[in-house]
Amino acid sequence: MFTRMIRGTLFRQWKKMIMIAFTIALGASLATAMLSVVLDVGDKVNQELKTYGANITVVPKSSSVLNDLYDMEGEGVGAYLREDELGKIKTIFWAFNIVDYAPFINVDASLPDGSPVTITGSWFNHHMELPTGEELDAGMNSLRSWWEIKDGKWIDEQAETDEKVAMIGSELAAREGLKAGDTMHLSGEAGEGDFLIVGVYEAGGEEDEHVYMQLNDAQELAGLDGCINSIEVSALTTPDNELAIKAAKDPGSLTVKQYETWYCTAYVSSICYQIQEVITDSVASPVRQVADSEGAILEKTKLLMVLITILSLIGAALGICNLVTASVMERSSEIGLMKAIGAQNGAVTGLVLTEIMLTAIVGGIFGFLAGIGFSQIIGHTVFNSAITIRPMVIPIVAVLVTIVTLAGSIPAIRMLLRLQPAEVLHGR
Amino acid sequence: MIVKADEITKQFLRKRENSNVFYAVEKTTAEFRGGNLIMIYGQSGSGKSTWMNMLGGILQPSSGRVLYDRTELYAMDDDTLSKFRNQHIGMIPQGQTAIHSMNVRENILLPFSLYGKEISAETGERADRMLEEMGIADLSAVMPSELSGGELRRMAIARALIRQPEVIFADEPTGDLDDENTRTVLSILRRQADMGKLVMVVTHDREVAEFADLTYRMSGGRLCLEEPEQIV
Repeated sequence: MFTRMIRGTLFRQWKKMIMIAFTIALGASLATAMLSVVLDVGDKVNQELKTYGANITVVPKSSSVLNDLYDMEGEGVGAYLREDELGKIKTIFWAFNIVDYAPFINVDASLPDGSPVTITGSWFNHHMELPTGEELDAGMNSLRSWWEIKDGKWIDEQAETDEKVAMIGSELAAREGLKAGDTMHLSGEAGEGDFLIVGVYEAGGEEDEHVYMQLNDAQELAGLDGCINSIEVSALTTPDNELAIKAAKDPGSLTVKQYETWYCTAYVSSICYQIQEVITDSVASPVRQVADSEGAILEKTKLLMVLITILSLIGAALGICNLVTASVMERSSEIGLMKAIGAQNGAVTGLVLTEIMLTAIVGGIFGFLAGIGFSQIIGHTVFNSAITIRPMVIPIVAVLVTIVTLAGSIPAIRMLLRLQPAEVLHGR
Repeated sequence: MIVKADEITKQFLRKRENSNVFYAVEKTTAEFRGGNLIMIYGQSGSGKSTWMNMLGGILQPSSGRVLYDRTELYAMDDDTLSKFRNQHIGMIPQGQTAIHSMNVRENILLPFSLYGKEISAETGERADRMLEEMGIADLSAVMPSELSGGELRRMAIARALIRQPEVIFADEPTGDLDDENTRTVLSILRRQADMGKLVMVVTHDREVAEFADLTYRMSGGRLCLEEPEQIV
């Protein structure tokens, strides 16, 4: 009979119940969309920020000491990392968070007229088949995606040609009168050769005076086979917190539990630490500007989303409050009658709450489904990709809908508890 | 069952010339015994419904006590009082009261349903007998919105009697009924009194006096016992 009373109310007050369900659906949809985006936004923002380049640099330990002592930019002289260890970067605990990386070697060379030129050897679209079975095209093509190719194209490492190729900066090209398709003769300390210019780039910095070529070609010119000066790594990271800051200063200061938490979280300091473990005599350090920007943007984006969620839920609670109160007022004579013939407050409250919660479940389900749709619209509009709906969104939204529905029902329940049967039965 | 009003009063806040307090019921002491049909009559606003509600456990007096035998009604907590009302008091409120999502039979069985009780075969049979007795057996499955005023009133009486309470309160039970329905309803209530129940009827219809054992007049919040010859 309890079921029949509920069903009767739901059918008799269907317009009001639809309005309540709609209000809940609205709140639930926004909560679902925002939570889905918040939980996925870290990766999305990180991926967006990856277009601004690497966020970790790895240099030889001795160079790092010199840099720290003299606040020098660039790599030290006479200390090198080993090229054959590069593949190990994709074997660390957070290997899947390493989205791109490239080695660099800087070589002094000269043009035919004797003028000096800085040559940088690196990867461009270097193909790697990793022990994990993963395949990766790593290199500058994506790490320097903001470079503008004024003439020609990027160096293609996978093109089958025996010809040595190079890219030159726009200022050097203008000064020397070179363009894509020309050949340039370069002399290094240990070798020389003709290089086909495949592209002219504009980086907007001192690189516009440099020449970029494949790593092994630069090593040949300098006679430094298997040596590299530095590695730039682009990794998906979690914004730093107090633990990460403490660990970055000295991992030894952490307790065992803190260490495990830190090591198993994709903090930039944790990834740096793990890179140092696999690259001999190296120091990996975050490019603070990029890492900090990532963290700040991510935190602000998340805060904004959470605020929108809270405000939408408050709005839903207020809407529910009005509608449920109106519903109880409309049925006050029935509620008064039930109380007069002995219904306890708990039973009447239970009846009303069951009706509201059933309505909330329906509204919540529709809201959740709509929220998934909203999140995909946000994903495609803002990040140009789909938002992954995390399973944890379901219980979170369920709890939020329950809290909002109960909170919105409080004034109506208070009214119901104070309702005097003698008054409502006499139409007061 | 003896129902006793011990110096009860009821006052409401209402703007008056000399005072903001309005006494709906002045200090009154009275005692009513089972087996009687008590009629309380008076003009509208005389305080008779207030009086009945206080005795019926749905309106707390401003002062004084209401005793059912030795049980003090308003000393109970809200849940206990609700249960007491459910088990011992049959309330027939003024006007047309029903739960509109339930049919007539379900409305009659409501006092049982409120406590989540399974409706036993015996209770079901009693409900059917009630429907028969009230002359609405053929309306068992009909929804309240399809009933006439008289049918609704008979349904309300059946609902009040289904738990066989010792005390029955009826507020204007014949208010909007024709002569035939009035006599039917009063006969039913009379039978309950004859069965040993205490029946209190609040009305301004003096025809009820014909069925009553004792008649009281409520005037200006004061309750006075009247002799039959005083009722005009």
